[in-house]
Amino acid sequence: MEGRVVKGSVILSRIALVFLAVVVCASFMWGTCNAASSKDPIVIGGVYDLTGPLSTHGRGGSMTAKAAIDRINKAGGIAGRPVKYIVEDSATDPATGLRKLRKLILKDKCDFVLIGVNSGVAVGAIPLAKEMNTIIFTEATARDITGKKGNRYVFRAIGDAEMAAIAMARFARTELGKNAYGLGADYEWGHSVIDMAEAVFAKVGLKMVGKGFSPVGTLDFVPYLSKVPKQADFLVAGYFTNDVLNLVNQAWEIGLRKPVFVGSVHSIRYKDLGPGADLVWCGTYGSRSLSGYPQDVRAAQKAYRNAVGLNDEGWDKNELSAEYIWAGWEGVSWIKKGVEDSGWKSRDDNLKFMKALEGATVKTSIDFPTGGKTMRAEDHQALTDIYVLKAEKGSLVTKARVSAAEILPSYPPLVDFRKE
Amino acid sequence: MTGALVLSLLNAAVWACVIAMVSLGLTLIYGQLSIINIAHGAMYAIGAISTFYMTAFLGSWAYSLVAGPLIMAAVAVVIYLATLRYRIIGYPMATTLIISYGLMFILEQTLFLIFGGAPRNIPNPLPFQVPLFGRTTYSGYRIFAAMFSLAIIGALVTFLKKTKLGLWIRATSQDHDTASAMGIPVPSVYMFTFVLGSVLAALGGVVVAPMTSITPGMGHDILIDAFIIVIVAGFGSIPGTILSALILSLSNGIFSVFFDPVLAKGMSLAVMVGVLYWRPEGIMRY
Amino acid sequence: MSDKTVYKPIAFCAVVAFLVAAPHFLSLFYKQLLIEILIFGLFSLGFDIIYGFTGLLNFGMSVFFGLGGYMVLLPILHWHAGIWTALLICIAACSLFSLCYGCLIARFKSHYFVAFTIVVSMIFFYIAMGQRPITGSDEGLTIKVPALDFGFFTLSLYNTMTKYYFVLAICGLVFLIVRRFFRTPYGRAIVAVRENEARAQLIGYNTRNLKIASFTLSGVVAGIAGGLYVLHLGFTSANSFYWLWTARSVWWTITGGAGTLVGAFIGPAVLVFFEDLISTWNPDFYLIIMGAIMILMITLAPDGIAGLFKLRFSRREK
Repeated sequence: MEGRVVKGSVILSRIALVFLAVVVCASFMWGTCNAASSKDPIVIGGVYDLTGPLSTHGRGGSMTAKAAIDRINKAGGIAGRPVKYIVEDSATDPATGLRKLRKLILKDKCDFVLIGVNSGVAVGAIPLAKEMNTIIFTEATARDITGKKGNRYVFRAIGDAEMAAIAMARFARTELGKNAYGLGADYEWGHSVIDMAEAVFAKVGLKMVGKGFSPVGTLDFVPYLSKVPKQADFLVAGYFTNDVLNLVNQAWEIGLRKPVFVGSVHSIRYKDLGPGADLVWCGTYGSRSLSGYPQDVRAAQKAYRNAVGLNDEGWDKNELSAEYIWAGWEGVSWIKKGVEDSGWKSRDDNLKFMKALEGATVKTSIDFPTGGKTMRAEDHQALTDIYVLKAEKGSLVTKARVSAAEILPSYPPLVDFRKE
Repeated sequence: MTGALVLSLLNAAVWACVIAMVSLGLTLIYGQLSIINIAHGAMYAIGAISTFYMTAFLGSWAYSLVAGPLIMAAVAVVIYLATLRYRIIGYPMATTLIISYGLMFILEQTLFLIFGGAPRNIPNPLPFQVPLFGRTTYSGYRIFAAMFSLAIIGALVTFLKKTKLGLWIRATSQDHDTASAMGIPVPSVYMFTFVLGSVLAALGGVVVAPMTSITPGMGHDILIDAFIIVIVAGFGSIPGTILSALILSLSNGIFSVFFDPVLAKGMSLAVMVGVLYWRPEGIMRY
Repeated sequence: MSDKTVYKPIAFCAVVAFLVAAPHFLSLFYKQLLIEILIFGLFSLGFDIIYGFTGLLNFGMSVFFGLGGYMVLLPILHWHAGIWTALLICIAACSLFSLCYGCLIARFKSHYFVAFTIVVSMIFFYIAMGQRPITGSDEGLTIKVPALDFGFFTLSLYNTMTKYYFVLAICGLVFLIVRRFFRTPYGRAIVAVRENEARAQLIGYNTRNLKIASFTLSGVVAGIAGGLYVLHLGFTSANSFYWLWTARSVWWTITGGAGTLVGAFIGPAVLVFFEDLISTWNPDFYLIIMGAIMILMITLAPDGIAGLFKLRFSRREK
């Protein structure tokens, strides 16, 4: 037979294998004995995309969450108990995210888990949260998370795609035109952005004349861009990070000169948008620049930015931008509030925690540096302001702030989790 | 509709040129060494990522046209000598398949550790547009990319037909025992072919880098396309590879005008299956 | 061979004892890991049947894995099917599919066979990714796993112990059936095709039918694994059709030892466990280490772990 190995190395390989087997069994035992952990700390887990296309979001959210926890620990912890933070990488893949979620809850005994901006992971995590009796806070902005795919175990500290669409619709009507064409990444959030835009536009007299979805990871958007009809006045793009850059640059290259309202400009610099930069708008959940925040919020926002390493223009040393990532920080603040207000001691008290936060209102403070807000009781949605940014004069400028109060009439809750 | 069709076909033709070049690298390695090079996608990524660093540090993309292939060649030599050298003849196909699979992990993870997980873009080195019709234009850089790929393919064909080394490669491909008997240094030819094939993949990465985003995993999808092209082309056939790349890319382009692009991709693969069924030995028997 | 007759029964009993007793002393996390190992072992078994025993490199195993998964998930999601019903549907669908697929592909040899399987698996991947309403695309679909209904009592698969024994039972059953099959004359005939197809034909075997039969069996086994994986996670997505799953099954089987049946389970047992260990210890380097292990493995021990202990199933005389 070909490839027959010499006698000596066969024996060596067998010995190596037996040794390996011993190590394997020992590790099994070690894993088992390590099960029990101290009762004292509150363990908060994080499932964030630390690698892959969403990694700038993931690293940002995890970074602010960790900074919040460090600050809280220095001040004595939550209800006097120290807080431990364990983060796992979902690698921009829903299946990986769910595996890591199970590991955090089953192996690391997390009491609460923060889920990053990946809507695919979040939607998959929601039923697991209920099954494993663990409350989760997510930054993912797809509508259904606090809608028909949600349950009482999920809370969202940041606004969502529908709120952004409502703010966008108001701007589009005065600045951009009547007919829109939607392009989105073919997953939960991409669909949310386009579908929400379509529904909201219809109510204010705007029309979406067509839409197309590209698989996550598409690098060449020309086949999709070539389908944009002449009568479209502007584009709505449900894409994030580099997909936005590719889309905007490739649109310019085929001669498409229409304004684009994108779903996210996180970590995108003006110069990377290419010659078509000034066509780019975005409805997002925070102001990139400190000056874009209202006067009464700026002091708290500045203190927060100092704590996490963001400057006044909205950048940190790792090229992360400020509009989104505060959700990690405020998610931790909500957990602290929930535990302290309800007297939560362990997951047996989860119901008390939920009730304490349902309908809770907070004021501007270092815990909530983007302003006072309410956690809506029915759907666990934090009612936040939406900021409309535009690329101009070399940066992403805050053009307007649409407050939660202005959005609320068009944004009723779709469900009532309290009925569960 | 006609406008979209023209744009689509032009775009498809551009990608056909680039992927033909990458697939030729795979064909060479597969045809001569019988190695199913699963690491080919990682080599493509190596080309793209070296381009990123050349552009970032030296300020100009043009350097990467030379530096990318050189870096890849060096890596390929090391890989070959360390793992594949004695596994070409007389081993089952699965052996080199697993080795190249292991290499894929090592290469991609190394790239990941160097480059990071976040995709990055480099600026377009030729930011001009070519007018097509009406207000529609097309990226001048992409046209350059296609021309460049065709030039490389042309150079490759000339090299194989007109130079002594090219003759050695073709001879070894046809019958390595006879070639060896005639004094051709077959083991060196093998190594050279492997390096050449890898460099073609890396050049693909170099040329594509300014068109889209660069990530360590960007080779996965192109790998499978290249495989399908190579297999439908026929065992080591170069004209077959080019024709095969054209069929896959153009059918994808045409279908995506009328259907959703993902479905179009599936349909173009079905076309390839049809071709394979009609000519199981490949379009052009070598 | 003397060492074989001493090792085998002892090793076999030890392994069975360990598998039966394991859930009682393992932590929850490791129980889940073991369940995954068993399912992946079954998947690799499917590959071993077509590659190790029939000699055909099917580089499109992910088709069966993905299909099997959806054939269990969709009946549960849309028709509220019970577990047994869902599994039966899965087996029936995969059998039919594999049979048709096998008939289409049986005439191809070596390289072209591999080629075909790759292309077909990618077609399925793109179709699955494109049909979001049916498959949920790359986010997938989640289900509430129904209870295991035995008539007058039910068990919940959310209880990890129950789930473990359920998966163990099914994997064990399939393993024994497959092992029995390859000891029958028909099974041995299939191995003859692997050894030398021309010679087998000369003896009078209908090699085409043998290949189709083996292909079908391989597809059903892999499909069952896909179905079990859905019952384990309560989730699947179009990604289960992606070619990396095939690559994993190839790698697991070859590491364990192709052509040995037990090798199909040994491979994942060692590798999945190692992956968890190394990735926890050093998440940055673990893929590089895995890659290096792969290369060393195939270079030093091409017959895999089981092969190292001379467990390869081959015809008596040599």
